[in-house]
Amino acid sequence: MNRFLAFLILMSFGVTKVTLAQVTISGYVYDSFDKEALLGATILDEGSGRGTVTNNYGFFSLTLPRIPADVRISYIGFETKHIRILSDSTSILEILLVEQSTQLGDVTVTDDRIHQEAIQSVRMGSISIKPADVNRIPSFAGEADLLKVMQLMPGVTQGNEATGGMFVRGGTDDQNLVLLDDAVIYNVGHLFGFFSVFNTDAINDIQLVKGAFPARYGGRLSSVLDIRMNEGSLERWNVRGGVGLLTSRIMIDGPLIKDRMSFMLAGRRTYIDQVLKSVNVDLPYYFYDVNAKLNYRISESDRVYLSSYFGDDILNFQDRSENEEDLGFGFTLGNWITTARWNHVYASGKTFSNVTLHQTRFNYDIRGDFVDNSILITSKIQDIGIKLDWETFPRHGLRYQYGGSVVTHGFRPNVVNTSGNISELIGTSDSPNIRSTEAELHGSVDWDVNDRWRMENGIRYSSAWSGKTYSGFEPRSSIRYLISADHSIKFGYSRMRQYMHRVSSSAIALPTDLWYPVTENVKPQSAHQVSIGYFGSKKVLDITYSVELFTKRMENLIEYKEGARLILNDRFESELLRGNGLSRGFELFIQKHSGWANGWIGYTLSKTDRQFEGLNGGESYPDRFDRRHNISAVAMVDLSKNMLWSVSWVYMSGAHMTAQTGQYLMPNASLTGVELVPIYSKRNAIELASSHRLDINLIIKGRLREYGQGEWHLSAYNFYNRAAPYRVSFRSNGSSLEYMQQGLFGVFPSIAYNFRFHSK
Amino acid sequence: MMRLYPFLFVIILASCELFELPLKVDPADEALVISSVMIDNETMIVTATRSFSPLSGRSVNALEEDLIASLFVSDGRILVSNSLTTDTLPTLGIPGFYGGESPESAAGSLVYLSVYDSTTGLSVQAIATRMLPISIDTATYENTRLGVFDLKRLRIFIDDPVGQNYFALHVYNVPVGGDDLDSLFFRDSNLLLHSEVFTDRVAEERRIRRQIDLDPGLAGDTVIVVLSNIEEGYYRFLDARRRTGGLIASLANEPINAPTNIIGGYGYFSAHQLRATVVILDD
Repeated sequence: MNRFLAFLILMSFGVTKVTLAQVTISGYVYDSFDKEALLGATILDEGSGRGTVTNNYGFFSLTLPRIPADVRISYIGFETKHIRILSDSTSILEILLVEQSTQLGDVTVTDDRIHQEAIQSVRMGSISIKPADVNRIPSFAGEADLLKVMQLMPGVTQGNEATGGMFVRGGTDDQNLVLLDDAVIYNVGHLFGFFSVFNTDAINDIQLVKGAFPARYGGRLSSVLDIRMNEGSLERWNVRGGVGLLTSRIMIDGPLIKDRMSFMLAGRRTYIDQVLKSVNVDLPYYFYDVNAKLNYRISESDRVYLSSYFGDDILNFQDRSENEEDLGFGFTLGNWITTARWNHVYASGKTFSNVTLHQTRFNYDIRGDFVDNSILITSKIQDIGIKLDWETFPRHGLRYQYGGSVVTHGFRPNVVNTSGNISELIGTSDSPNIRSTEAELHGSVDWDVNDRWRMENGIRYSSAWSGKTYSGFEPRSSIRYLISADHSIKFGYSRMRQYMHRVSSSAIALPTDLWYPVTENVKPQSAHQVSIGYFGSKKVLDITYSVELFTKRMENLIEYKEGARLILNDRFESELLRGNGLSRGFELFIQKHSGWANGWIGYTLSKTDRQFEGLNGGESYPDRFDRRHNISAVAMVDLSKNMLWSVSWVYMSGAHMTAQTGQYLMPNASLTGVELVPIYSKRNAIELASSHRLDINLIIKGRLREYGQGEWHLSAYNFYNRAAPYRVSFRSNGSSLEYMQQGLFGVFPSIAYNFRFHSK
Repeated sequence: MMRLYPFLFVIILASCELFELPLKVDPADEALVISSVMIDNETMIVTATRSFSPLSGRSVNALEEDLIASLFVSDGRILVSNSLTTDTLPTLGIPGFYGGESPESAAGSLVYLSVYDSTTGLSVQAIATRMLPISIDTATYENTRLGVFDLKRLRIFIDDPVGQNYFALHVYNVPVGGDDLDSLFFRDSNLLLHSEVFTDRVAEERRIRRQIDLDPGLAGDTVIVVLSNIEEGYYRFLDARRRTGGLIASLANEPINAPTNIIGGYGYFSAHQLRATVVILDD
């Protein structure tokens, strides 16, 4: 038995194959225009058929069986480049790709990389999208929003209308690990989630992983949204921006030291407060965000990045009552992240490392003032951490990824400060600063076993300390079987553990959701996810398609007890229950990548249940956002050289709610009257109406000039004005009442002007 | 651009119009609702009403006659029994209220309830445990000051019997002139000042201490503190009602169905007994 295990381990680490004298080339692939790294570019040895893709920093390492060798480098939207490797040079290559012209009438070039990646990659449940595409897809109020584009992907369910909440494969919104340059973003939405905090002008790459997770990712159960900011051009100055209905934004990047140091600075702010002031309406609300990044190439093998994001939602309402008494209400809700990274390529060119120091802070303050009384409720979470990652390419077809990380969390949930007479009613409560620490070690092997089989097996060991220590192994496995060049079958398994919870209400939407660590009573959430998929491509039509089946079992989920008190409750831990969840689903994804009309169709059939001993009599019940059917269709059509039309149509089965179905009278406690006691349906037993919506966007490009181009976006959200249930209320119907589902937004036309200019 | 702003604002407002779709929610079936109380060792009062739809549009702020007629069971048959005898509780002259002597039973024995509503044909049954009455051991008060507020602070001590125990505590104010201390109930003049339910998990060395701060501006100088030793199920029922009571709780708290021991109905049949202690707030 032990020998068999040893054999399996050796097989897994791919050391059974005798290696011959080989040549390794390594380097970076850049956009020739501004020398931004291209993530996921393909490098292929045409002689041997061996290939690899660039990592999250644009780095690659490829071992060639012989030289000279003809190597092809390709990337979607860029012209393919061929280079000949003549010698075994140890220098690090710098490959520049030129962006393709995409004018109507050009010959359509099918990008093999997409097809190879879809069919040959071991990855499944993974979606990559370019910020340029996000900008083209119709959006709410004309604000390009990558979270809402992600909601158009199979397996991702929307929460409430027009909000950016993502519910991935039956998970909850807090089970998404959202990383911006490797730092966690806790609050991804402005204005209660109507707009995402990500300014697409400042974004270089977006990847969503919803299953078969690589071992380097962890800490959340359901998805990883890995977003990389622009590094800033080393070549020329760029200015990008836009003026929209609600916000204006600008991004500037360029070289500080040509070919060595660059920067990027982007900012965005709403001006609805200023708009309303012009019509004498006082709504002192706005949000803003700023992205900044510095990129410095110390040497051929070393480079450092310093990046930061901060943004706030601010409401500051002040008024004076009829009795000349001061009234005030407001809140501030904000994220702040900072990341410092150092990339190093070892002398062999076969090992790449990345060290990341990161800090994140998310806090909110809610304040109210009335005459001499004031109340201030604050909550804060702050992380400081370090990550170490190595990537080694010992020979062709073999890649090791390994590393570890430590992060400390500091929590100050629900600190209440009161003054004046109100302090007699609501006491000041200074909750203790709760500390927790998470650490993990991970390693994985990506191995091309033979022409048909490829596997990436990994393991992660994670721990958390917060009064009590929790730890456990998280095995990960992805296996691909290549049926032919155009067809493959993939299998994935992931065990995930999550050491933080977000506590939020199902009854009302508050900006006061609390993040909370594991404790003696609050155990870590965990999930097993198994998925299997078929992947195919039709190169002639430049279409890829996939079918994935998944099942995900989640444990130690938390919910509030029935009747839990949520407002100003500093002992909410006693109001929490633990339970399980189960989600199963089928996902279909058909995507056309190029041509005068391109886009995708996604369909998800899924069922998600929860089961808690203390809820619904212990019986399982549908999750609130258990939407049985989800269909999305996105089309981008070139109407002429300067005109592009994009449409998206979505259909969603209704969300679920618990409704009052009856009531009765009971004598009150003093036996001097009666009071009404509500009778509710079974938990989440009422399904709201399904919703469907068409959004359109017409892009009219200005003349392409030597220094740049501008474009107008004319768009309409909810074009045919169909209500999507947002809330439920009673409406009088003569002598009786009826339940009504209210939509939030009807047809919402918008106009925006975007521009992109650059120096020569 | 500034000139365009009002126009843009109108677009935003117009798009925010709340337009609606009907939602079909099947109402819960009509069922009998029971509540009960034992005034002293023998007298039991049972109320019987019917549940109704939240869509009926009826206001219960004022107890309209037609509402009482339709919801209160005026011709019910109420049987209370133990292992030895069965008694029928007659109506008390108020629709829905029935009372009378309950069968004598020892603490810990079971009491059975059967209610039949001849108007609708609905019937329910329930079983309750006769609870051992527990009196307040000591009740004291003092005048005190908290911040800018003057308070009358009641301190109540209860000896906690062996086992897991659950309690309901009510404090009433008897206004000046309301000197009929034997008649605690059904008097608008006896104002409920405080109400809570608790378990003996708060006990220290089997002694429970509660502290209640009262407004100094009471209508009278007498308060009545009423303690009930209740079943766990009834505790959960009262706790659920507390969690759903009040405007903020009804809007913000998680929904909860009050637990019941009424088979085929709602409410709670409890065979607990009250023990009252009078406290004179003498300065």
